[in-house]
Amino acid sequence: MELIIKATVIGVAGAILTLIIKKTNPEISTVLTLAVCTVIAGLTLKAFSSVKEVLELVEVGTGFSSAYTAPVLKCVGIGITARLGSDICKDSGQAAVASSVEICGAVCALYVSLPLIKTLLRMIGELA
Amino acid sequence: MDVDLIFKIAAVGILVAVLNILLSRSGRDDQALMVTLSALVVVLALVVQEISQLFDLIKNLFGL
Repeated sequence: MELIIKATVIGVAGAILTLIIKKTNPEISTVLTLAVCTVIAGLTLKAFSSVKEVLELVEVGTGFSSAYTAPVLKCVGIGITARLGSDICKDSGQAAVASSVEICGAVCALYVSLPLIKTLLRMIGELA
Repeated sequence: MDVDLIFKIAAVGILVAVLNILLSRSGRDDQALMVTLSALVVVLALVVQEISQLFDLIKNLFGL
């Protein structure tokens, strides 16, 4: 698993370079942070695609409907995106923007999981 | 998605920092600001493509 070593090296090198630039050009250092996050997230998500293949295999093998797993995956995606965005805003000193991004992420996750909640409610209705 | 991107941006940042100091020491603060702004635009243009690739990857992977 050389991915973790790669991610660590990229992260540490990026952090040190960011510190060098931050004194004179804080705006470029924020962009550098963004680039480091993008590169590491890209590497990670490429590795995650093989995990997703296994998940699809499990779905096919057990006949488990993808209607149940799709919202979970979507929530993971929304969480990663919202967390990265809000942390970058927080790092550049904009806590208000960061919390609004987080709220948007929470609402989007709720919106994505609405079909699941509907199914659950319908199931309870049939039982009662 | 490569490490080269990070080194590219860091190089631009260090270069601009030096230029900024040189220009502001010689009393040309307005030019220093312009250099900083143009460097910011260049660096953002570099990063934006990568971010759009990342978002496409996230969209495909998680079915958003």
